[in-house]
Amino acid sequence: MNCFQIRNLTSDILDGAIPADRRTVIEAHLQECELCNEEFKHFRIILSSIASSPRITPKLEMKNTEPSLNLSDVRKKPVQRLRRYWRTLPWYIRTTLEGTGIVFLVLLSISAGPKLRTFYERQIERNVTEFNDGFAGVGDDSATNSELPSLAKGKLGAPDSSGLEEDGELAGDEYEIEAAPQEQEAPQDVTVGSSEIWRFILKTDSPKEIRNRIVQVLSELKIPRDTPGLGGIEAPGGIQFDLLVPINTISGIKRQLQKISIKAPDGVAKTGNLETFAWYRNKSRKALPPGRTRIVIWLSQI
Amino acid sequence: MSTPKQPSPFRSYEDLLFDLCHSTLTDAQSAQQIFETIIKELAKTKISERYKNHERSWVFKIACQQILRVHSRNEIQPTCSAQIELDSLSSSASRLKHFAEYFQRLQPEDRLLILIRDKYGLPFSELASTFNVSEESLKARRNRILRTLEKWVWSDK
Repeated sequence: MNCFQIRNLTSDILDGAIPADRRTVIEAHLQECELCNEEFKHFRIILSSIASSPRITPKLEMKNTEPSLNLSDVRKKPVQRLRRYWRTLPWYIRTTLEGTGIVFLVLLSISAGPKLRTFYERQIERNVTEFNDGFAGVGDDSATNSELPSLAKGKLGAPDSSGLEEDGELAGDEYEIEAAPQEQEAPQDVTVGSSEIWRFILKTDSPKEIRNRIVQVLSELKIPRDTPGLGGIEAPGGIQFDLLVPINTISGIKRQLQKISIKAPDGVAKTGNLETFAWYRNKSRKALPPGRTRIVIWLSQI
Repeated sequence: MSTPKQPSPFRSYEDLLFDLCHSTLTDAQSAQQIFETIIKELAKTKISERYKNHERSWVFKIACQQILRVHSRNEIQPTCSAQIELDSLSSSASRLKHFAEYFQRLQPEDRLLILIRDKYGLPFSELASTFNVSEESLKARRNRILRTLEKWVWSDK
């Protein structure tokens, strides 16, 4: 028997689990081979060290106590304690709770989405109005036409600064007078109003020319000439009309503005993909007189 | 009249398991916690048919599973300075005094095997059920572990 074979039998030799006939051969080898003999001495020392190592026993009071969740929980952090408690729950309770939680989160996100969007749009609208108002004083007065309603420049023709409503929209004095009582009557918890604002955006290289045509269109649609905001307000980057009109005139206004946008801009029509006319409608909390709606036409200077 | 609470049928293994946890895991707090977890697990889990005649194997199997699970999560390695200090011991006699620290350098599975076999004296037949490997594999593994320990302690030979 050689050293390699002896090494393979180390475990059995140490346990004394070797048949008697092979034992003598192994013992003979260990007596001859000093290396193997020394190794086995070391193994026996290791095993005796392990076997004689002291045993640690639980304290008596702990032994007499059935381990409970609270016993170990005292030393744990709250999160660990909660996680451990969660694991102890039966699977069907855990699954039900988790499923309910997921459904609740989905429903919450579905219901909160539109509200967040409304809030976001309102913020943007407010910012734009503040921006326009801040620069309203800048502009020239070259485009005055005696036949047309006066073009407001900055704060001169526009409603005075108190005309800025709470939600940042420009409003004429008359609107204030008519709208104020309705606002008071409106319930306090209304968050989304039913009033409509129609916004039309025309991009043009000559807003002043287009302005004349818009005033003409509005006159043709039987909108009184003394309607506040009929002349428009000059602002940096273009001209803005902000006025109240009868609801039934909206379709006519839209059609006419579309025609103007197609015919009018000489330079723009040829520029290809440039969108020159856009409109959209949104809701406002601001109450309006019955049968009236608000339109905002923005002639954007290209 | 209230009936006294029936003790768990595995209470007789508590001392062994407690020692096994503390000998395998260096962190006393983890050892204490895992000991409680093992006892609870034993009380909760139903012994399978396969282990009906080897209750001890089943108990150690559950214990080893829990210990290895905890060990993989909160393994505490000795510091570099402690390792260097241990390696710088010149004589095998002084190394033998620090045998416990060398023993902790072994893999947790190896520590469990040696402890259960050589400290508690469980036969290889039961160990094979505990670790789900053959007796021959366990013997070969034990050989390897002993040689590793021998090399660490008597490396100046």
